[in-house]
Amino acid sequence: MTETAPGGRADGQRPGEIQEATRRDAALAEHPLLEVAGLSVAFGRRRIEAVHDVSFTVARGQRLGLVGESGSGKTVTATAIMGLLADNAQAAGSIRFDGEELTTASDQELSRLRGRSLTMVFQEPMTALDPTMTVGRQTAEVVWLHEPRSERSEPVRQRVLAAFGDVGLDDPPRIADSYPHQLSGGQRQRVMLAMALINRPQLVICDEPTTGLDVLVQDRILTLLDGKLADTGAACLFVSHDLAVVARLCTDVLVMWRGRIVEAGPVDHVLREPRHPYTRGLIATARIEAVTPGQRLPVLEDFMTEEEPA
Amino acid sequence: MKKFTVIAGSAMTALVLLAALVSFVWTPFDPSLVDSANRFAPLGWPHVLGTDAMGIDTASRLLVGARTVVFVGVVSVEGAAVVGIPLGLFAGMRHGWWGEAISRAGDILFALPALLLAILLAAAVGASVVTAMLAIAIATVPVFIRMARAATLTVMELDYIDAARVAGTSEPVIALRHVVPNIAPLIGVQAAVSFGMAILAEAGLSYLGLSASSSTPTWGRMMRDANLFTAPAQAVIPGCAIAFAVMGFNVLGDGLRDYLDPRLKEVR
Repeated sequence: MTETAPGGRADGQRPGEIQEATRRDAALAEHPLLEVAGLSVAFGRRRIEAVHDVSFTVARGQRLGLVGESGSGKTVTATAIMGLLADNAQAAGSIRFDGEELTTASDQELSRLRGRSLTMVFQEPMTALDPTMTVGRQTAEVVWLHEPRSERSEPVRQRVLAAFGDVGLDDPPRIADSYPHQLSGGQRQRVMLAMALINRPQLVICDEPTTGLDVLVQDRILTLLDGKLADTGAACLFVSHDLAVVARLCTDVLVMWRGRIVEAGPVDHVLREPRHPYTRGLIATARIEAVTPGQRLPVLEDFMTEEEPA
Repeated sequence: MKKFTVIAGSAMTALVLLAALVSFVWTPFDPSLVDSANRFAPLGWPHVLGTDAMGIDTASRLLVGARTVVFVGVVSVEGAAVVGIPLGLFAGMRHGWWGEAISRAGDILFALPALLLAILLAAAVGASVVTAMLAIAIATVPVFIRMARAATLTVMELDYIDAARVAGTSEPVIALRHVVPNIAPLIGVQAAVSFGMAILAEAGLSYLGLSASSSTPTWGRMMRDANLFTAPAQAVIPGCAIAFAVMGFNVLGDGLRDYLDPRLKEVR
């Protein structure tokens, strides 16, 4: 595990993670934090399958990337874990979080978990914040919902301002009193991160959280997320179409294609020796700098002409 | 320009409200004082807008009639909103059987015009302002159901609803904290427009004798009592008042919609 991937980020164990592991019960550490087994999701009356028999686990503190092109089923998988599937979706299989089955959990049980130990960062920071509420209030609400008044050691506003400061927002009081449309995309995504992290979750699901941002802001948000995850020892399921982003943040990666997991393993390993043609294609298409100027850019189909495993 | 319509609409509706309020403390003459010697007095002094067939001062009746306009408008629109908005909200958030049942029930109610309901109620318990209001309110309920449901469906698709859900917010709290504030501008516009419709409906009902008795002055009643051939002014004046009030609320509704729309776009 001392090998370093080309991205230089595959240093599996972090100090925070080790502390976190020793602090936890031995009994709890037995099962993985998130265990998805045989998950299939179909949509509509004609039962069109978006995800087929997907199984994987996320250990405590582990950072798992979920990579694939649009329509590969990665977002549907994340959505299923959060229990946000549309009404016309039928899910089969099992999703266990911290030993608790989520697929059969009641709304009440889900409400208790979501926002506290299981949180999510959305793709579009523009639409994921309620336009009629100040972001400070929205963030405070996450605390109000999960923490009885008696357990609070400090005013919620203090917590919110501290959380905003932690995610690198300048002048937290001003940001807290702003409405979403008064903030920039990067600021909104930082607010989203603060909301996702304020209750010290065990697992943060990130659904392409940097896709809507420009490259420089994207870079800053990723650095921030990296640092915050290390600080809190939270595990992360990072959904993205961008292998480079995943390589930067995650230790392990799953590659999804047409609703199935076609490749899984440590990031550096998968990047160095991709086994599935689709993964090879993904890597090659992401490396524009490797193409000689004047030559045609590679496309996924160039790789998919080889055998297509079922 | 957008602000202008809002200001114009507000000014017109404010004038109607003011007339209703002023009538409580002052009217030029006693609005129920019958003065047979002075029937069909022309416009002038001391009867600024003349008198009607019973010699009652038209200006005074007009002021007092504004009360009924505001009263009927407020009560029927409020009533329809109080019933319709929660139903529409519920129908918009629950896609299942209940949501569908509510929308279809609303559609059936849509088929019943206020006039028919008013005739039914008048036949059952006798015509009064209350039956007119009830009829208008019932006829307006489906408008609010549809409006609230459509707006809720749009809002429910947005990420911040999912975000609230993953934060562990329960459905009723999502409805109150996130959906209602976001559909409020649309509902406000609808309320203003419905207010105008309610005034028009009440005027129509009192013209047909399906609302207030002749002792309660209403603008529609005034038109009914007037004779277009012998004293056209007595029919035209309340007619203009009705048109003015209805237009005021419609202009206000239009203005509000135009005024709120771009802001919503910017916000989203």
